[in-house]
Amino acid sequence: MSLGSPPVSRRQPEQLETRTAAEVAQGFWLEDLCVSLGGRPVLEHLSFSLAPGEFLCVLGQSGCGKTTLLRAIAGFLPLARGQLRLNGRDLTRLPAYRRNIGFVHQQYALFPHLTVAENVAFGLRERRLPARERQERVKHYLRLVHLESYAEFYPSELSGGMQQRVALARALAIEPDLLLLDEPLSALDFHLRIELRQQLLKIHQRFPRLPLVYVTHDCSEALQLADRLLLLRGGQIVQSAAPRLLYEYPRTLFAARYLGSVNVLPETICALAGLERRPGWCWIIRPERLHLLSAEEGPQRATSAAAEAESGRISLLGRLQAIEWNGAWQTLHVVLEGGGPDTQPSLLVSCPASREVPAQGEWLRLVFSPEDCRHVLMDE
Amino acid sequence: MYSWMSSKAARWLGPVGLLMLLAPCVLMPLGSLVITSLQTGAGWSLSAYGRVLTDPTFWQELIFTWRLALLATALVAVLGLALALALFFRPWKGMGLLLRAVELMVAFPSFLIAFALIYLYGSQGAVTLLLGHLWPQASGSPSFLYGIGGILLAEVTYYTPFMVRPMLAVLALLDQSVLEAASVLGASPWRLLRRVVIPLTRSALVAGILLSFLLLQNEFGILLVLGTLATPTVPVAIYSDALINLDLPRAAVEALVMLLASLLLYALYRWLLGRSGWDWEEPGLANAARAQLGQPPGRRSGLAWLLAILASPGMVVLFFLPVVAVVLAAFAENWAGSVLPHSYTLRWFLEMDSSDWLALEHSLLLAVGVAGLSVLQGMLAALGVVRLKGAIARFFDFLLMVPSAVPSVVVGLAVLLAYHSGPFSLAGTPWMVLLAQASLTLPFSYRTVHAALLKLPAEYREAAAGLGAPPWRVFWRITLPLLAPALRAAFAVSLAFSLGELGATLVVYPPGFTTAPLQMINAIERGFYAQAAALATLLLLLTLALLLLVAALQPERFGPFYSLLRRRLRAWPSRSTVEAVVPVSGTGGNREEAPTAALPPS
Repeated sequence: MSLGSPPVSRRQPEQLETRTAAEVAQGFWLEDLCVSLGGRPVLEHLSFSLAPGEFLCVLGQSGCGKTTLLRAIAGFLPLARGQLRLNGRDLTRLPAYRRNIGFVHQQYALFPHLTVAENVAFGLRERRLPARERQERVKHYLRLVHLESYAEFYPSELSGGMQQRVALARALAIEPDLLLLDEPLSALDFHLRIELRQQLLKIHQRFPRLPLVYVTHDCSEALQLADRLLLLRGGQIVQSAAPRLLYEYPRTLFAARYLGSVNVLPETICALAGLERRPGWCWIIRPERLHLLSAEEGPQRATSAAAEAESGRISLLGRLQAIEWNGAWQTLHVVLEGGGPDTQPSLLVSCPASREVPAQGEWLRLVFSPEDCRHVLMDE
Repeated sequence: MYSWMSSKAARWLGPVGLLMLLAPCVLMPLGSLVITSLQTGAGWSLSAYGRVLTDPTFWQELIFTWRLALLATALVAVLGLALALALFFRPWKGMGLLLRAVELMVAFPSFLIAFALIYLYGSQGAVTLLLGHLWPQASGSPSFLYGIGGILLAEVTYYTPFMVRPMLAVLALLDQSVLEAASVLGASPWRLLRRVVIPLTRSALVAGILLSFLLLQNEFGILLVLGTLATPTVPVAIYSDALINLDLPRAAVEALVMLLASLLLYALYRWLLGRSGWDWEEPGLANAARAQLGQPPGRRSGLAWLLAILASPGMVVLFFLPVVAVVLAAFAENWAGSVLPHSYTLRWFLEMDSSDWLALEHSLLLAVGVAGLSVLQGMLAALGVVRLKGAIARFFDFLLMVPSAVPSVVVGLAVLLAYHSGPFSLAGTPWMVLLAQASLTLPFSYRTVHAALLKLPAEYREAAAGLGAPPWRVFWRITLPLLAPALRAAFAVSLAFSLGELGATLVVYPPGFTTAPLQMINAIERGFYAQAAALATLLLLLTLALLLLVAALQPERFGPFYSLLRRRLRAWPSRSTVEAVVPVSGTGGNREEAPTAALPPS
């Protein structure tokens, strides 16, 4: 069902060596994008591309330009420079209404004076679809989001989650070449959010060639949904990688901290583990990579440390200062040996809540392998 | 905001289009006023200015106008603020309805208030007699009505509701949790008022007071009925200079001086408004009756008592009394020398002659025309101004408020000067009345639509564009339907305003053409009070009927109702048609199983 997409261009841009010509022609491709709002640069020299069917999550703190990026792609904002290409079409100079891109707004932007069915049919009427086909398509997409019985309701009569699904159906009904979602779940409560994530993933699986750009500041959402993450900061890309890769191998301290809590290893421990530090960089380790051995008394300390060192693992002694518990997991605040809590570095250790831990103030032993440490740029 | 119009052509198109749009109702009249003020018998000179500015009578009039306006403003402000506070903190059941009814006062021409006061407080008036019965020793004092006292009473009665409404809107905007926090921290009601409420609403308060001053300074109808030689004001002087002494340059200069003073005040008002972040179009009344002053258990404070008295239904009814008096007078056989009429009759309605009915018909046609023209102009102007930025946007915004900042007589005079001769001559036609009234209502229509446009989230337009709608389709399918409530509000107010307009109409009406207010003034001047009251009652009924009609035409308010109806209707035949549609739904089912078939082009 082609909706007036122009013939596919076979010209391969040199910048994308890693992609084949067919892939470039089919995916979404953005280069050197710069956007200014009110004279202030918001996005600077952004480049990335999306394969057909790829689910990209744009992640970042509020004000980092992620919504601006989405609006620029949709054509709601003028570009200062840059080029957009979708399935071989050059979008750069096309107005928003000729781009065939689906957009789901944060507050859904359902037209309050139109019924659910009329909302979904809006884009189809603009495409002059015959009435019969239009009705069928509306029905089909409402069924897709399980709202077929609400066709004649007005948006104000629906709950937030339902409105969100209508907005999704409306964006999908035009059978877009690219779907953009601007924090679509942020206005919903926690449980509904979890449920709708599942629905969104299911819908994504049903459109295996539709690329998606999903903006969020919620990293658990991003980790669960995305094929690839794009971490933005101050209008620039910090890192772009698959979720697991980005979590395990962050390039900077900011990226590491954004996706989860980290321990920055103090100088003494780095020396102990034989980790060499470049100036401006630091070594980090995730709390779940620090393993709790057991509570021990003073005399056995030396022998145990020696045994650990033989197996290539580093052993540390610390005193348990506090425990934070959140259901399945618990996080221990451990102050390392020697000195008070003010002068000595403390580490976070997370372990399953089922794990027995010593009482507060007791000594305990931590071990970790140097391979689990990451050398990251200190960009904070 | 509307950034899709960013090409160079569009940048020029906007302002030029706006200038053309504003030409007939704003620019031409304003230009004619300036030209007339500079014209003397042979050529151009400033002699008219010299004549007026050195004339002590003019200064006397100006000072008296301001003194009167200042006095009335002080009274209106104190009473309005007290009433608004009382109603806000002591809401009662049915208050919202009554306040909405008070808002209808705009449909009640101000000169009718003055007229009604004659019935109420004249030497043989109902209230005067009632007081005389209650305190016989105080009776016999001469009526204060024809003089500054009567004028003040009429102005306060008419304009206090205008003050209450925006005050309530401001109070409704107050963060309720701040008031609660202050009470919890131990602030007594008086302290709360003095330390929290007043400081937080100060600039809006001052803006409201300035607006009242502007309206009172420009008042004409009340002065026409109750004014005497002892109460000379500039609007009345402009009227008599232009139409009785036929000294047009002098009238034009006086009008321009008024315009200048009003514009200075208006600029001050806008500046304060901008600082207060207060939107005077906000429907504050509907949301007003929410807060409660922290009431200490047991003993009631003095303020609480004061509030309770002020907020009583009786206080609000006081502003209704004139309307009641006019209606009563229309049905009274003879209402003089008694508190209530002795007997009632339909005589005054049955005796109305063809000229009365014709006047009503003219008023009706004129009102619909004025409202349509004003809403159309206001909407186009708002759409144009919203696209502009910076100084040029402010310039047009300012220009669009000029007609509301000057006395209606001045607008009438300006329209008369622009169209009584020359290439666009409309001399002797009712079109001039249409233009004058449309000019007077344009600011309100513009402001209403402009505010609605600014409140319209940009997401709707974006979403529509993203779904493939080009700009004009976005306007047609999204912006226009969503503006419908604002357009309707502008239409209703223009309609009501036109039905009661006197000042401008009095200046421009052609021979042989009358409107209902003109006919009433005529009757009052000849002493036919009962006939005037009957006509006023019919005009009031006509206004109410038209406003109800406009209010009823709300497709979006009945939207949920329609949707229910449609659902019911659809549910009923669907059982029988399901079988017939099977092949269609069958293909739909296939699609469901293989959804990839319906995917974007591959």
